[in-house]
Parts: sequence; C-alpha cells; structure tokens
Amino acid sequence: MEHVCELTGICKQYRSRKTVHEVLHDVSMTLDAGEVFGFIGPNGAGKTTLLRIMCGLAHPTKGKVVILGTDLTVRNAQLPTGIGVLVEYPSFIPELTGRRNLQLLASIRGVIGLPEVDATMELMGLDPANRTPAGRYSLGMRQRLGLAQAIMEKPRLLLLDEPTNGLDPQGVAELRSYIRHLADQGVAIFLASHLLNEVEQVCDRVAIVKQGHVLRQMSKNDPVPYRGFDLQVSSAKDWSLVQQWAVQHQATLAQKEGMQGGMVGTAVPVPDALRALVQAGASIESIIPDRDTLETTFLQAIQEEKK
Amino acid sequence: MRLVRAIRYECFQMFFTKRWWGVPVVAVLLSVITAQDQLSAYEQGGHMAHYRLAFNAWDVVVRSTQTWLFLLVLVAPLLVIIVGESYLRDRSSNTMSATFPRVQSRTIWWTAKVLSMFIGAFVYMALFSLISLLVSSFFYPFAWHFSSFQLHPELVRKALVMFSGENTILMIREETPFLLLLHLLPYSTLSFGTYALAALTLSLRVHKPGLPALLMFGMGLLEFYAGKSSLWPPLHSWVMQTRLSYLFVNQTSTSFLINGTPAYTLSTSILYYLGLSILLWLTGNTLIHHDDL
Repeated sequence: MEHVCELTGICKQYRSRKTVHEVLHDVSMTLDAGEVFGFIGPNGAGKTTLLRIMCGLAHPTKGKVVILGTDLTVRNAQLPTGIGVLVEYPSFIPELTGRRNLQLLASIRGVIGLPEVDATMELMGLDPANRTPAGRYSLGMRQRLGLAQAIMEKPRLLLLDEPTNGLDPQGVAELRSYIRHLADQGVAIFLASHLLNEVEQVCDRVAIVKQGHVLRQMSKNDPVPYRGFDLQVSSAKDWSLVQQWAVQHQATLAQKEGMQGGMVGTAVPVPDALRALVQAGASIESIIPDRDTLETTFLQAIQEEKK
Repeated sequence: MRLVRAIRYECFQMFFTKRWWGVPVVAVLLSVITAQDQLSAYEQGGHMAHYRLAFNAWDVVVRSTQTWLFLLVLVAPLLVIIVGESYLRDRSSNTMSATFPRVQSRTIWWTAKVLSMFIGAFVYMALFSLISLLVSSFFYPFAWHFSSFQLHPELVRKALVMFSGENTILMIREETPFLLLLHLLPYSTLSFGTYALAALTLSLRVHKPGLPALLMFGMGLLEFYAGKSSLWPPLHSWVMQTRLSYLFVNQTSTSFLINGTPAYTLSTSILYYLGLSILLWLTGNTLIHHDDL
C-alpha cells in the first residue's frame, strides 16, 4: 500500500558564515491513511521545520520526501492537492472577516464555495455571520479559524502544528474528537506538539524528537510492560496488618504521617491483593495501573539522550 | 486559473491595508500644494493675463506628478515598503502556510507576487490621478481639454521669459488629457512596478525590513550625483535612462518636453522596464526554487 507520506533520511541544516546548524538529523517516518502521527519534542526540536518541509515550504538538505505520491525533492516538483496545513499562530488579512478570509483562500483552489466555508466555520464553533475583522479575533478564535482553513477543503493529509494553542478546555476536547473523526474517515494526520497528554490521547503512533534527532518511535499497539498497580487505601482497622502484608509481598507502602491511609504499590495480581487488603480491614479508594505513560517514556528518552 | 486566483489573493492582501489607501491621499495633497504654488508663481505680475493664457485642472494634475521631491523622499518609499516587503510580511505572519499549499507551485506563487506589484502600481497611479483631478477641480476649472497654457507653448515662453532659464516650465506634447493618461498610466505602472519588484526580489535573500526604502534612497542619491557630475558617460546615460527614483515622474519618458527639449522616448523606456522586469522575475524564480520560502 502506498503511504500518504513517506520521509526517508531527512536532514536539514542552516548555514551561516561560520557555523552549520543542524535542525533535523536523519528523520524517517511513514504515515498512512486514517492514521494520526504525533511528533513530540521540546521547543526548538525541529517540529515546525519538518512540517514546513512536508508542505513544500522548505527543502531538506538531504533525504527524500514523498507526499501523496509526489516526490517533493525532485526539481520543480508541484505540491499535490489534498494537503491542509495549520501552523503555530495562524495569520489572516486582519481587515477582513473570518468568513471572507476563508472564502478568499478557498477561491485559490476553487473546489469549494461559501456553503462549505460556512459549514466548516460552524463545525469549528465560529459564527459565519460574525462581522468582526479577523485582526480583532482572540487567540482561540484565530486558532479555530486556522483549523477551519486547514480542513475546509477536506484534505487527505492534515499537518497540524500545536493545534490546541489558545483553545479553551472545551475546544481542546472538541478538537481531539474531531481529529479522531477525521482519521476514521481516512485522513492522515501529522500532529506536532509539545503537549504530551494531547498527543497520547489522540495519536496512533508517536515519535519523540530532541534537537532534530528522533529518539524513539512507538505505536499505541506496542505491548506495554505490566509492572503492577498502585492502590489508594484508607480507614484500616488495624494498619499494622496492611504494613505486614506489604512486607510479605514486597509491596511499597507510602503513608502520610498520622493518617490511617496511604498508597500501596504492588505487582501481586489484582484480585489477590484486593482480597488480602480487605481482610486486613482496608478500604480501597482507587486502583491505578503502573505502566509507562507517554510522559514517563518521553522523560526517559530525554534522560537517556543526556547520558 | 490558479495564477489568476493567486493574484487576486495577493491583491486583496495588498489593498486591504489602511496604509495602502492612506498613501495616495497623502501623495496627492502634498503634490497638489506644491504644484499650485508653482502655478501661482507664474500668475504673478499679470504676464499670463496679458497673453490670454489660463490654467485649468489638468495643469495641476500634470505638475502633481512632477513634484519629485515629495514622491522621492516621502511617498514612494512608503509605498514601496507596503508592496516591496510583501514577502517579508508573509514570512513573519505565517500566511504562506495557508496560501502556498493551495497555489501548489513555486513558479505560480512567485509570478502572482510579481504581477500583483504591477497591478498595485496601476491602481495606485489611477487613484493618484483621479484624486489629483478631483482636488484640482476645486482650484481651477475642469475641462475635457488642456488649458491655453499647455496648448500655446510659444506664448508661454514669451509670457514667462523670466522662468525660462530655470528649466522649470513644463510643457507636454500630448494633445489631449486622454492621451496623457494613456501614456502616464502604463509608464508609471511599469516604472513603479519594476521598482517594487526590485525590492521584492532583494527581500527574497535579504530579510531586512526597510531595505526597499533604503534602495530607493540610494537610487535617488545616485541619480542626484549623476545629474550633477560628469560621470563616465555610459553610466550617466544608464542612470538617467532608468530614473527609477522618479517612479511616477514621467518627464523623461512620455513625450514631455522641458523648455522644448525632448528627453527619452516612451517606447524605449517601456522596453527598458519590460526587460528589467523579466530579468527580475527570472532571478526571483531561480531564488525561490533554490531557497526555503
């Protein structure tokens, strides 16, 4: 099957008179239809540069970029249709309304008209009848308008750079479900962000990048090593029984001073642990599986890179 | 079609700024004031009346395009900043990420930018002439023909003999205002458009705002120096031929005469500007294919 996007050995260097600054080093990845790919890293990791390369605004110093079947590294290559792009802090003609801005942008391709523009605005929570010039939009509204321009022509590949910038919690939740909805419809989505929680919730695959180097790539289908779980317990009749059980089963016990409660970390199977703790007179408040989150993986990868 | 739509977007982006609309108004007011001062000086002493010479609104329009000092020092740099820095504005505002994937081709994107420079120049000059004519009509009678002052240069030379040595009595060869506009608009469009294009092409490599204005100022100095000194003749000739710093000032390129002496012709100037524009388009096209946008 042909990938929607295929990057092979991408390097990007910026040369000044005396120095060569490498922004991306040997980045390779593929993105298929219906897949959401998260590209996460701290500021200055090269996320935006990669996105600019993918939408034809920048040339890679080395490597091959194939987008929707078109090799962008070939001289005079034309960008294929079907790419929607949202960069960080999108900008519009400030004197025109949001609707007029979208209408003008849509007129360049000429594949959609005003009804589609209006429908997309409504989908993004914007009022098409709003006469406020885009220059007076709040950051959140501008971001919604930016998203609307990226998706209004129903792209096959959607490139998003920090899409939740300036959105309120409701907007973030709506965007998350909309990204999943688009992916279910077969749109390939590349999402560059430094918000790990957002990426974790919505992405099928993730690459962790630091200073242009991809440190780790993983999929949500990768097996997650089971290390046990944490139990929050309280109101033990006899706290010493809980302590005794913890010692016997090599469980960790974190207790606040003077409180009849705490956290028990253990690898004992859940039913056995629950039974024993209930017998010891403990109330189970919550059970949290102890597995790697994207945050722990990210921090681990960054730490390993430092070493 | 994509090119036409891309040009439309570029023009909207250019025209929907307050600065864009402010510049022609400022230019007209400054130019009309200066032109009117000149005409008032001619009227002093009653020599004009003696030879039955009179002005009409077109005399102000003609002279308003000649007030090169304001155009060179104040208005033109401002206008060139507005259009010539269009690429730098796109870069700083992230606009290109929305437009370029729709335009799809670097050549089309660049061509749209280039052509929008000339459309901008044309609209500016058309607006300038229209407002100039409207304002002038408050001071002098409007007519569909030129005044007796323009139509009888031999009488003007007799009436204003004291001005003849100063090389300031401007006469035009065009017989009707329509012909004047027919020459003035395309010439000005080409000269100003080429200048803005030079600034635009430079900004592809030198990402410094204000450079177009600096370039313009430099050209003005060069021309001033070339006009005052005995430079190597071909260089002098080249500088006078380009007259980029004059922008809208058409005295050397339409059939304007200064004290009856014709300078360069309209056709040679148009060829020069066309050639220069094509060269700049080619240079820019090579650069944008090589560089990141």
